Amino acid sequence: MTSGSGVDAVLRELRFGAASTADADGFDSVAECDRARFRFATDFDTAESWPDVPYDTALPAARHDAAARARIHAILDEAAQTMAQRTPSARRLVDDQLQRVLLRCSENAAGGSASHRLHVGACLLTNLHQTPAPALVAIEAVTHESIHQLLYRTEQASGLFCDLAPTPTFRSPWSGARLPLHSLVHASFVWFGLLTMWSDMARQPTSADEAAHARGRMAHCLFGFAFLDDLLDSVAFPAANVHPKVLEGMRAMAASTRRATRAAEPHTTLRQVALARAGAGWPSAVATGLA
Amino acid sequence: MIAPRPSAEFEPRLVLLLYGDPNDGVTRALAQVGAQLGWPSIALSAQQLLDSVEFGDAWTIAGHRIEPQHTALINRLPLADRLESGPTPEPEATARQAVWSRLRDELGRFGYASSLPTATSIMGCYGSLLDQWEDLPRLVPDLRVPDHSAPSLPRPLHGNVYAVNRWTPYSLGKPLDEALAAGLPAAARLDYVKPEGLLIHLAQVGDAMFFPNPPPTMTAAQQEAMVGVARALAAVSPIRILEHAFFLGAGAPVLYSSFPVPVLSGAHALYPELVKQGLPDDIRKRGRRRSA
Repeated sequence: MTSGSGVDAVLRELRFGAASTADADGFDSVAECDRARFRFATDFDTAESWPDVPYDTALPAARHDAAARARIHAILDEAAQTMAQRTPSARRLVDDQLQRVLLRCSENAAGGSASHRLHVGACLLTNLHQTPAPALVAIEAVTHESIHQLLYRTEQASGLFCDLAPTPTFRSPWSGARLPLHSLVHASFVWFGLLTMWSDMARQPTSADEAAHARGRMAHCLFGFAFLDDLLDSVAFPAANVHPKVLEGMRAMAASTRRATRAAEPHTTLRQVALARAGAGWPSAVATGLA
Repeated sequence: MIAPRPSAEFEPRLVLLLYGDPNDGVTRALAQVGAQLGWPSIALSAQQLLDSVEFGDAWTIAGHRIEPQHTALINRLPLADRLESGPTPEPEATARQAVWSRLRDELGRFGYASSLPTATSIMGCYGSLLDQWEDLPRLVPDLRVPDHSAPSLPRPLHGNVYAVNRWTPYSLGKPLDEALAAGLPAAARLDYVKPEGLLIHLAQVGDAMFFPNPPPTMTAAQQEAMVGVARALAAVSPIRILEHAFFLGAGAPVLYSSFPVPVLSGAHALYPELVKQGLPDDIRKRGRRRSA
């Protein structure tokens, strides 16, 4: 089973804002050419069927044309450079954890990303070229999937976080989707990492659109954590099937987000609370609270 | 009326009603019988809560202090407001999430709460029909729900298959081909095998309950089975005020939905009596702190 140190190490790794503060040089020690481009290989052509997605990634129809490929390379490079500058710890995680990214398109699937524990080190990005604010979407997607790789590798090294049974399912307080236990457990760590990443990004946004996007994503992450303890406390939740240190880690993340929220929103009326997240200092206050 | 067993645990100093819709059945019943609950009570609208309450160790409103740990809270805040997954929230959704999360924290401090905000509703509910059919049988062993299938949980279905929008617990939907022809969105689609029998309702406040539309054919065993389900739910659920809908055929009842608004029973003449009997008992039994 998982050792406590495995969970602790994951949580340390996911506190991107804290790492940025501690390592003020950020990505400066890395060669300029590495900052410009993610380290992972882009895979546009292999005849590989990715599991559990609603289309066949091996079909020729799932391959991007030349124009879309060029566009995707530009999107990924913009994402890589933005992360190197603004959230270097998260960028480092992506470079360390992702070795290959499959890029595919489908009319039968919404845009999105996927990982699978049978393909550690790789992930699938679907319809990246069609998303609004594609560089920001790419930043979230590669960070999200890199956290999954970190979790898979931690489980490979230290033991499973929880039971892998596909049923029963639980409603994710973040996405609303019904997830099996192991996906829900992973989701808790993923959303925590996304929260710290967006908090890091939101400290110094380069445009109003980016600021709004980052705040929206932070709010989304925080909202799910506000209800995580209720899910864990429910008599329907199989706490015995989750490693105690992992459960402790999930509760610690929920507590940390609650503390950060309260520190960033100390207001005493709901009207003020409603306005708090539009305030200039809100992202930094959340980031500081999480660090 | 199935009456609760007497008990004495928590004695609040105040009953606080937070309401969104003045026509909500519980809100109307409290306006009628609130004075008979045995404790002083006040009602605050959602607007007053937003503008006039100051949070702290105690809540303050117009100079009056409300001590959450000594207060029983009846949460009738708006149910219709609901968050779903989707693209990046707009600023107003972000503000709503802030209020919603803070309310979860603040209402959780009360000695008794009839329900707490959940990720799907400020009033608190069991979520969509899919969520209910997946989650409630784990809360109540032996509970029967319709056989069902969703894009995220595909299963083969046989028989009288209907499709329903999972977020409409008061609709049975339509036969599958009709629902698809009507353009039911895939993201909301939930297919199920429609059980045989009539749909009947059971209103519940804690351990007190009544059937607002009992069919003459309902047997004592069927009644007992439904009351048993409601009592089993009450034993483990933080949502204390509910209206259940069951399919009742020749055999064991099948739960269709549980909803925190008494849509059907709220207008029944017995409903205020249900609140009068059920609420004080539930407050005493479920209150988490004894008054000092």
